[in-house]
Amino acid sequence: MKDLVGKALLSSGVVLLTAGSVLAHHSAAMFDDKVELTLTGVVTRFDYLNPHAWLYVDVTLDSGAVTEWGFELEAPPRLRRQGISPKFWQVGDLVTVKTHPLKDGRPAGHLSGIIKSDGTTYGDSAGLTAPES
Amino acid sequence: MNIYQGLVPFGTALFLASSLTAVPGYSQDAGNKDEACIPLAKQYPDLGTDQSVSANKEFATSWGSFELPGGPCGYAAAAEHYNALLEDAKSRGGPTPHTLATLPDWSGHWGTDNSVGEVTLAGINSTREGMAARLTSEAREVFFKDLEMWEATTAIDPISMCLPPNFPRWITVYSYREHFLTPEKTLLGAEMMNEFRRIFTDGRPHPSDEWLTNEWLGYSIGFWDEDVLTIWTKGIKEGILTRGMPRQTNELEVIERWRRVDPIEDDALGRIEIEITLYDPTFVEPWHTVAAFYKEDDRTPELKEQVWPHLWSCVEGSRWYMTEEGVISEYAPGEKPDITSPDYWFNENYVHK
Repeated sequence: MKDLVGKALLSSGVVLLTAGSVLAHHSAAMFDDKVELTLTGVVTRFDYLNPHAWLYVDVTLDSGAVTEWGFELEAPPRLRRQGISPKFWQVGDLVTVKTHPLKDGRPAGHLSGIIKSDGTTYGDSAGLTAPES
Repeated sequence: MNIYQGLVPFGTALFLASSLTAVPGYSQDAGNKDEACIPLAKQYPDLGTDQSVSANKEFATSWGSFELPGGPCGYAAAAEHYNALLEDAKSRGGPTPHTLATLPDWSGHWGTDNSVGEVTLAGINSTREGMAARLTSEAREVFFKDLEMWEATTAIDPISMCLPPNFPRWITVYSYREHFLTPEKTLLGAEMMNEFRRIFTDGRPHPSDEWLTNEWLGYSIGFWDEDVLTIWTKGIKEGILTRGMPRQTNELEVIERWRRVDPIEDDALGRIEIEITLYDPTFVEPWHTVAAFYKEDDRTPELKEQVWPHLWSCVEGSRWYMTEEGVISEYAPGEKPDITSPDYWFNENYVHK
């Protein structure tokens, strides 16, 4: 479809470069924006550093197997504007995370939203319920 | 691993290299400023604002102007622009011989008030067509090919690989800024990559061709005109203006004017406005825009705890890499050795030869 449209435009001599933002927002192209997973687990590590903070969570799958997932967050200047300090998530916290995972299925993703067992949220937490121990 | 095939969130892009010449009045390689010129903004009224085809007109300035310096199609070169500013300062008794006591107050921490950063070069109303219109035909071809690679995630962004952002992208990156002013040198710092630009204001020229290199931040000289710092940068490394934007060559030269102004709109503590004019052989017209840094509020003990530049530890915080299929991806936990740990440095299981 893309090639057919391209050829039609070429013959008419018309330029069509889709408008809309060319803002090169920090690319999340390796994450699947069509897939959103909801995962629950225990925080093992929170690295509050530039260029990206990373939250590591031991996720227990239905099979009982435990996989360590890594979730990419924004940099400290942006996190702190939203009230996220280096101690916001502590080792041992039970959390439920919404994430756009890596397209190839490896256990990492871009963090969309998160809720702790005490109900504290960050990001897009719509649809998330606080996990219970 | 799956090779990414699909569309970036920007939408489908159809690249038609030659069609831009069909626009009436368009001069494809308008490098001769002596000829009567038609400013790009006049040729492409729908692609931007009165002046810059890609400026963010919604960004209200207190002092900076979006008007292209040097007339309808700008100065022919950065040297001409810089010398015009210098002569103007001299006509009023300048440049200003500041002391530490008279230099303006740019202290504290400053931030960029946008979520992306790149808006300050291209503007939120930018389109690919608008940016392509700025380029010579040869550069346009390169731009179109680069865009295809960005959309296929096969292009590498240098900052993802822990290289510096280059200049003028340095102006647009998010993160805190710090400024240290002395009469003969100014340090302009950005949290990203812990980079400081050095602006020599002791009257020296740029190094001669014998000694000038092409480096990520270039070599900057400048002068003070009362409370305005004028900067001329050359010797910049070739690269990209930013992700998804045209390339810059190693002949790029940049003129900036920096000034702290009073708060307007929602500014609490004021802003520094920066006029930026880019001169590159691949641009058919100088590229001019205005950026701003906003002073962060850290007046209370609580805010002082929070508002400070963190070290940019790129090796730790950037987990990007290129897959065997030539696509950018990211390491999952456990895939990347923690080379920041002494346990790695002294691990006999690794080859440290």
